[in-house]
Amino acid sequence: MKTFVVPKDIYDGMVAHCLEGMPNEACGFIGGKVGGNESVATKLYPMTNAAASPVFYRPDDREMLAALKDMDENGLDVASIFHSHVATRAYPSPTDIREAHYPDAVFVIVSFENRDDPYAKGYLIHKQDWRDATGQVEEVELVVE
Amino acid sequence: MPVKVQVPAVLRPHVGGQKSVEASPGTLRDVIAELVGAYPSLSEHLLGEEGQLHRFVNVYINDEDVRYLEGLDTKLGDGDVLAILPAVAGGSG
Repeated sequence: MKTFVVPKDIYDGMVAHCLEGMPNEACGFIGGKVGGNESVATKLYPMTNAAASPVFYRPDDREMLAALKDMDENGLDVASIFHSHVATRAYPSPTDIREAHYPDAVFVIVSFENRDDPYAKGYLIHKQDWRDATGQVEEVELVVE
Repeated sequence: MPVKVQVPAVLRPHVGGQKSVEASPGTLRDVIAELVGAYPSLSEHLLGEEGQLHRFVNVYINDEDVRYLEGLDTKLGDGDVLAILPAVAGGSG
């Protein structure tokens, strides 16, 4: 299984941002290095969910553009796009798959299915063509250290 | 001074791997036409059958979403920055 190495402070910051966003979904990017079998997280970019919805997310445009600019200036890749599922498991929904357009980014989902015990899982979403509505989901092991 | 066009990773194979390319000032429609003229395989990734921007592509001029400007009629001047981004969205619903 491919791995995504996430320093503990970034992991904790991501979960805290998702918790703050409750009862709506929260979202953001993680900058880092994308590799063939291992990606590494180095910087967390929490973003506002412009959709302000418990079942849908869309990052705020300006926050997303600022994050992408910062990553570009610091030589970072979009290592991950994360969001929360406030009441369902940490697995890509049909919406997540349809809207996934970043083949190298690990899609991390933080689940609050059990509110007292949130957990996160990561996935790559492979498509024949990046515009396809369907794709194959490959789990990536999150290594928090 | 040309318009700077930032190219996302998924589209770079269509522009010879470049992170950004340049185009002449004009409307967004003109700029895209120039890009497609130079890199024909970009066309199907940016535009639908009726020439509209695909819904899964977001285009920003100096950080403003063109959907809130004048769409394909928005004018780009010297030194403006055009950013093309695959849309980011999803959710449990």
